[in-house]
Amino acid sequence: MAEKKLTGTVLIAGAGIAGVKAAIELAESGYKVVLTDDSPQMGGILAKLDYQFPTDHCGMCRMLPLVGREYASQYCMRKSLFHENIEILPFTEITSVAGDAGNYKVELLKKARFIDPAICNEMGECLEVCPVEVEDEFNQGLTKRKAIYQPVPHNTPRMLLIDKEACTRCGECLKVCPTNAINLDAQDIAETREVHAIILASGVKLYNIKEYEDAKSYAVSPDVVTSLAFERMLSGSGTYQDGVIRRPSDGKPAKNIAWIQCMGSRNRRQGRDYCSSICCMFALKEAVLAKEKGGPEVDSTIFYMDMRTFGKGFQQYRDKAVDEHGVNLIRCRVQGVTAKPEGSLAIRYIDPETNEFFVQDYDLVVMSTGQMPYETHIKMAGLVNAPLDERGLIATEPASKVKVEGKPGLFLCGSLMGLTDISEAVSSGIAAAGEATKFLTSLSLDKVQEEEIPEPTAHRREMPLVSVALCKCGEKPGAEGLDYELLSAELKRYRGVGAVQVIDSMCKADGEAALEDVFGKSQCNRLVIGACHPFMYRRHLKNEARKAGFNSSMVEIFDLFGMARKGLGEPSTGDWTLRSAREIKADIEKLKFKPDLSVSTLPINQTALVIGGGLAGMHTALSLADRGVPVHLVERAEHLGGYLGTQVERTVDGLAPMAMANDMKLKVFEHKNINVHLNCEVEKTVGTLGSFESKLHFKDSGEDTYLHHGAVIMATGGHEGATSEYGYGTSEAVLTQSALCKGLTSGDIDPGELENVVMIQCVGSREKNGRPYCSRICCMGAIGNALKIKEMNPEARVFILYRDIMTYGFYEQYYSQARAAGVIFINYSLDNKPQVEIDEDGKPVVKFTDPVLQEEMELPADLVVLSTGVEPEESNLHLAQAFNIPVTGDWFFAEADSKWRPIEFQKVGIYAAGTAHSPMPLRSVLLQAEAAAQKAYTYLSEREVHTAAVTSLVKDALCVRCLRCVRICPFEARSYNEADKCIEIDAAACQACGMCAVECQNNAAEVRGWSDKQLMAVIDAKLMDSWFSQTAG
Amino acid sequence: MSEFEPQIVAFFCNWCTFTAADLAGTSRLSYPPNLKIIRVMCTGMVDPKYVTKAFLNGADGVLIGGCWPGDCHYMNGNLKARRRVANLTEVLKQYGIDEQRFWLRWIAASEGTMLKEVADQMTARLKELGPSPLRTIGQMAM
Amino acid sequence: MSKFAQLSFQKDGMNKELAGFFQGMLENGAVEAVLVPMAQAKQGVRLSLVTSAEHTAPVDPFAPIAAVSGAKIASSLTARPSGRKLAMVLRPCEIRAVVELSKLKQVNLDDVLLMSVDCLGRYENTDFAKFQEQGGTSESFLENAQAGKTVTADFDIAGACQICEFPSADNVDLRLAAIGAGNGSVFIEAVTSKGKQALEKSGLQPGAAPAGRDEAVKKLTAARTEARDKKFSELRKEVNSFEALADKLSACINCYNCRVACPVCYCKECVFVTDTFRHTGDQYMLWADQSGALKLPNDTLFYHLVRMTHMSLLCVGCGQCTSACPNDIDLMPLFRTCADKTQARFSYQAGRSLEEEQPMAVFKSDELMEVTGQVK
Repeated sequence: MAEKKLTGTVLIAGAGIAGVKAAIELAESGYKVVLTDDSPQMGGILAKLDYQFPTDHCGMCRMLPLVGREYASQYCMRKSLFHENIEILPFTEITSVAGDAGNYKVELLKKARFIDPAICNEMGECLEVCPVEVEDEFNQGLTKRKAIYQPVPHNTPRMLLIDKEACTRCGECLKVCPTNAINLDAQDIAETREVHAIILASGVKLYNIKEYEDAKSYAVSPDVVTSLAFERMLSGSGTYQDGVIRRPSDGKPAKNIAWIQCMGSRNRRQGRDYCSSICCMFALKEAVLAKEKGGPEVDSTIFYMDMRTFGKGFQQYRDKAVDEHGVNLIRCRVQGVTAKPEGSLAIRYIDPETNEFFVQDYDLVVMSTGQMPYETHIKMAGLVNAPLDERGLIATEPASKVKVEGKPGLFLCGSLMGLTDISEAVSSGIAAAGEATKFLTSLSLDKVQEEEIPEPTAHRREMPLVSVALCKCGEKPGAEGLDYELLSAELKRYRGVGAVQVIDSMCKADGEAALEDVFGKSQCNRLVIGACHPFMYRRHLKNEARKAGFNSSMVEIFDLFGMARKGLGEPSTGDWTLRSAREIKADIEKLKFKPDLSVSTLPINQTALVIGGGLAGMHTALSLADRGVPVHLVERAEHLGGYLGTQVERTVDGLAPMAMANDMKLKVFEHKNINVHLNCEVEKTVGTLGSFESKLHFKDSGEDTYLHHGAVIMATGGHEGATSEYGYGTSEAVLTQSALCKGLTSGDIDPGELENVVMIQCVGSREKNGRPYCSRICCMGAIGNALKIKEMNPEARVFILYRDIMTYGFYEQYYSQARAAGVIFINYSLDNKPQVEIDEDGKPVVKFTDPVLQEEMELPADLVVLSTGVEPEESNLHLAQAFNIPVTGDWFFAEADSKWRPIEFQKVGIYAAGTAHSPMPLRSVLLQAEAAAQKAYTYLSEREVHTAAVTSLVKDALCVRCLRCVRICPFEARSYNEADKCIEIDAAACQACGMCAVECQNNAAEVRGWSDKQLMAVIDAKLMDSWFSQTAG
Repeated sequence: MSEFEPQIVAFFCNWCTFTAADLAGTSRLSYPPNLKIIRVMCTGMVDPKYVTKAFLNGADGVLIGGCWPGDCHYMNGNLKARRRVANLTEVLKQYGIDEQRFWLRWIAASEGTMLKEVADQMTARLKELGPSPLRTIGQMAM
Repeated sequence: MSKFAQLSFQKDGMNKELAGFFQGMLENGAVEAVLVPMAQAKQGVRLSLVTSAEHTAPVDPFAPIAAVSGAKIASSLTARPSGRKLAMVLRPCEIRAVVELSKLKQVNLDDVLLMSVDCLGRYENTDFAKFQEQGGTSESFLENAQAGKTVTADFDIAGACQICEFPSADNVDLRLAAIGAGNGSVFIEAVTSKGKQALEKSGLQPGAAPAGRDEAVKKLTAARTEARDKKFSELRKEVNSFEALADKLSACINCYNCRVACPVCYCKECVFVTDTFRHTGDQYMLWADQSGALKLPNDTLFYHLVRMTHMSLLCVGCGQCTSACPNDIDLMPLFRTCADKTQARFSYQAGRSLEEEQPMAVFKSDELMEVTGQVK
């Protein structure tokens, strides 16, 4: 046997959404993760957001693994996250990083919590007596908390801690603590970890209105709050308790609410020449929610400079907010806010239409406070000694957003990449995990090896005889009020219970021994373990049970202190001991009828199919092929490269798509793992994750071939939109941005001869009867061309007629450059579009209204350049049918969830990357391509994949083939096999939600471990004492 | 005779409402012990059979708690639950078990307070209504 | 616009004419088989599958009996289709059940020519035997029933039929129209293009429409609707509590005949006879312990309530459940009053149209807000 290799381990610094996603991704593909965070809790900002657009709801839990879901916690991520391969270290600082790629030595400092979670019984008596009150940062200071506190109210285990700064060491808590878990003299603990790679995911600071000068003229009252604070004002775990949005100062209902954008961002004078990227959508969402939650009488107004709705569905959301919810948008520069004596807040601004000075009163003002990158970047760069680029951010490799320049084994994701929204943060987490796995594979490091314990046979047919093991913590006298003797006695009496044992700390070694010892001999064939936090110890306890001879599906683990935590009954009176007994009886009943839940394995054809030979497709193919995955790369055209790779010489941020494409082509054609199919299309596909079969049709030869593969990546890209507006096609002088770009590089267009160039943005874009979406890249494209003209001929006058300049994030700097270079930006509105007329000698004249002077202008132009947006490939429609995946109204592919599963489709095994998903700049395209590759690699790297044990099944003999289950399944996990005339289940896709089981009226569809028999037995047990306990009258 | 304590069977969705129940607990918002919570993965998993059975077993009320539309971990299980509840209510209503005894409520993970309120309200309402009419029949008639 | 062809006959000549019509259809290849009620050798009438033109003589489509729901037979014949063109002659309630079953993939209408007979009601199987003994024929029944005389000395048409507001069927290709056709004739009405082709092929000459039909149908429907609503309000008064319901069902022996007879209860095996409801002695003891005593077989109320939740949305009111009960429990009114409520809640009507989605098959995010009564 070959000597055991090291298990690949990655440290992820920062447990925000990107870090968590990266961790889950790495863990799911079998590597060990150490996830640290400076703050006492995980989740970053997201822990505070109950609602995210476009649904205005939460769906964070959709980030959890789907196929390997039983290795991870299966509950709300606000509670916390458990995964067998992830070690989470909150409240832990990284003090130094030594060593280099492949063997980093990381010094950690676990900050003292002063409460030992291993001993604390989480009943929180101490919270009651602590006399110190300070601002609760979880609610952005809107509420108070004690010096002893729980960082996030939902968290389980509760993980209480003491705020060192606030604590007065009065010792009240010590008196009441029943378990002596508190130690006020606890010290920080230093630890060293050896890891192979590091992902920086620390996120960035948010602008603090108390901290910065330029906020002084705004933050004039407690009723001027940050957007994050307002989020807490909308939250049930914040100050939103009685269905009213209240002002912090006097608790009066806030009816008239204003948002002020770009707080701390887009401010060159303050050295913040970037756009925070997230605030516009954040504000739109809050403005909508304010109206929904605050009632119809609430009035929402947003003061903005540009409404940056650049992402997928953003513009549609804006339109909805305005048209359906009646949110007011005012484009202007706000001068400041004054607090009026009677309490209202006056906003002073200049109306751009009339140039008049205005003052408007509001009850509440929300500051859209932006992200602040530099500080964190400098800190992190110092820590891992990474280079900073000219922008002052950690330098990444030219085309990559996640690979740190010249530092293999060092990656970043989330807002550290430059400022990102949730969906890009999630994609980046996946991409960073992808790069990390690539690196680990290059070191040929091992994946986590599962402990080989033989699974004892399940004695289902025997009369069930249940044994109960109640865990009791050695030092911890158990939660106050839980009377083990009473509980044991109560359970012993219960029918079908063979033995009840109280065992000391089963989670520790001696506990294991006891379990083996006691139950190895007993005649019981089922086991209920009562322990704290079942999930943390689930796998461990089940393994012990297996060693002791129990089939692991015949073991239920009961949360012994759950009752207490749920506050059911007063702990002090101990009356929940009896309730716990009833709960355990219910679990016993459930266990009695539990089926054998042996895990099934899914064979994986370790080949990938990539559709689309553009930059996204080629990058995905290479990323997989480099990791040894065979790839079929299918391209409709005769050549690779796609639109960007064949049409665009240069992008504003200095990338050269055509050169990049040529370079990739060479690699692709040379690569032994890539099989290129040109000039052909995928006609139809059958199968599921691990075993797809696709029919490939070659246009010229008319031949068909069949490809077999385990996963699919859609990378069909897009192209520049067409138009007939603004005299396009009637004059040489009216052309599109890409034509201009080509002309400039080829020299066909000589800027020296240009006097006036007029660029018109949003041609056919963001119009309900055109393309309703924003194409995201046009503003950057136009600015790039404008700068080039200015550079070659500073005399030339370049006008850009725009609606909103979408230079989000650090693209803002090019906007600033352009203005500095004298490019003239003129705003126009949809109801007053510019006019283009071609005069007799074919020269275009542009007519528009000058917003400042409010005058009609006429401008003879040498060139009129149109930004005609991006359109998806028509073939998407056909592919959507062939693969049974959805497309949006605009024919882009519709991902499973715009925030939490941006790369995946509802159907497992199929992923989308790049413009096939939505228009985006090249760096984002490559990021998504990397992420898509990683999603596929997670499965393609294995010969077989374990599907979850708890999945739905079909009892064929009972099934009438009405197909109601097929229709209702939200995961496309059920299908009808026409040939065999039977229902088939994709065990990898099935999430055991049980909708099919209810839809099926005679239980031909059922979820293992959630059968009607079990549930009805549970209902019996729960109501056992109810019958005639009080009869009517 | 001691005060009537209604028996409420509460089917809580694993993702949102069960979290809210935990939250209510940790926030010291202890709610009436009349709730007999049964955790299900999704409200879309609650078979009308379970509700009917609970009532036949003498439950005075049944509460189904799940994610708000749009929050569902399984995309739309809660919408399916809503239709089924509407249907079952029409059936039970004819014989004296109506919306007052059979509740469906959306309770998000962070709405611990709302969970307490719903639990309090339902318990109070059922105390007014008195025991379920089914208790008077008894299993000899079923 | 419907096409009509008249079949005129001397007394006791109706079935001969009809036999001729079906013979024509088979001979001219309008269809390859016909499912139609036929007189049995000695007595009784059953649906029969005729594939040879020589064997149409015994047809008796208007016989006031439906021994089993034709929808069940339709399912057996088409769920796994033969591929041969088949005409099915069914009563309106059977057609409505067929409509529901096809939505549930239990009936395949691809090669089917759907024909309905006007229905003035049916006798319970035992009563039909008496009816025949007393010399009753389909013709006499049609004649009397249209004159409002369905009652004989000691029996009347089935309860379901007395309150059935659908004497004529929709969603069919052809109708055998007797209501308002006048004595001595029935009409064959071709409704769809499919039906018109078949009518042409059958060799009959299209002619005028039966003058009095619409009026007669309207009148009958009105009368039956009134009877129905009367029945509903009576039953709602009578069975307004679980106690009353339990009492009504006290004779039930859990034989499940009602669900076997029910045309829309389409499960192969009812959940109540699966393992889910097979228990250990231990379990029964527990239940007995809970309340001191346990009636057996148990779960009677449970079964009927679950069947109501499952099926009332699709209930077509054919009354086969009542007919099937060995202990004369009148289930039909219970189910119809329930169906009246559940179907109304989703503005659904079982059997109304093939296009309408069954209520449990569609889910919208912005509907039924009143269920939770919560706004965000």
